[in-house]
Amino acid sequence: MIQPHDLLKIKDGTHLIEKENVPEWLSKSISDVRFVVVRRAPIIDGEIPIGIRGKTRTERFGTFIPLSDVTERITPEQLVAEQKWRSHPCYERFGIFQALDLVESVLQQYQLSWGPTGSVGFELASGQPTITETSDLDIIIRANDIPINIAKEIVSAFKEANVRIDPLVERQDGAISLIEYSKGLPSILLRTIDGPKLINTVPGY
Amino acid sequence: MNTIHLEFPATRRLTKRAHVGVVGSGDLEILLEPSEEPFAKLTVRTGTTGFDQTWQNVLERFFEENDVAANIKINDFGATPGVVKLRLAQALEVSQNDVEQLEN
Repeated sequence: MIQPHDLLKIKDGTHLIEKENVPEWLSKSISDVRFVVVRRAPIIDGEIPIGIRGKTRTERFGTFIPLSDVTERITPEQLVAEQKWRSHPCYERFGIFQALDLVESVLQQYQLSWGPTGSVGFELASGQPTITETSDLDIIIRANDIPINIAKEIVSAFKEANVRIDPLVERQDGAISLIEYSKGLPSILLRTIDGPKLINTVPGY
Repeated sequence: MNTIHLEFPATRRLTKRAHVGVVGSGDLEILLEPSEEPFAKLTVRTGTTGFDQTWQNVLERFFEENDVAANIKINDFGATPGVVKLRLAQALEVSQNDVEQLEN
């Protein structure tokens, strides 16, 4: 099953040009598009919601592609299983890779399944240089119910990292921020494929 | 970094400060302080450019429905209008309830 954050290798980017409202930065580099990211949106008529990354933060384009255009699917968890970052030529240079080591050792203690997303996940999956000196480390943790004291311990352990770590908890009904959840607020934001909503975290509140 | 200043007339007073949201991709952080002046004064800092009109529309609609007197700082990290609206609603919820907010 295809899920948000999965990285998809696609046949070639040329057919994307038929889509409406393709921005200029993309139309110039359409043939360079080899990997796309699955967005959090419904799959309608077999069309997968995807995002295309440009060279800068502001260059992002959301569209849909048919499953038949996908040649390979890489999940964030796979990147961890293969320990992709350890063999990266810049392993020593980017603090973000040491942060990945930290995340791995922390989450292993709690036997939580996880994976990198964002620029790190994209670079590890595609091999295209995407990480910069200022990149945050975006990760997902696959879990339906993390006790709040464990959430606090993880968030506190992540603060030891030399880069900012942004952990999302991917549940069956959507994603929450581990940092927000760990604060014990009465309501938190849940991102679902049908859009965001606020949910109560305190029973009977 | 793009900064947007907006101001809307307000009549409702709030009792508490609020700090909601997350510094993280696709999210935002809101700091809300009750104000004695009859305005909602907003400062939006965002890394995304070219969406000033969208911010204006989303915030105008929200403060038409919730005319609260407050100074509000928004630090945006690429949130969608849907997330912006929910985070504002959440900030109001916190600033109006009696449960002590737990800070990290």
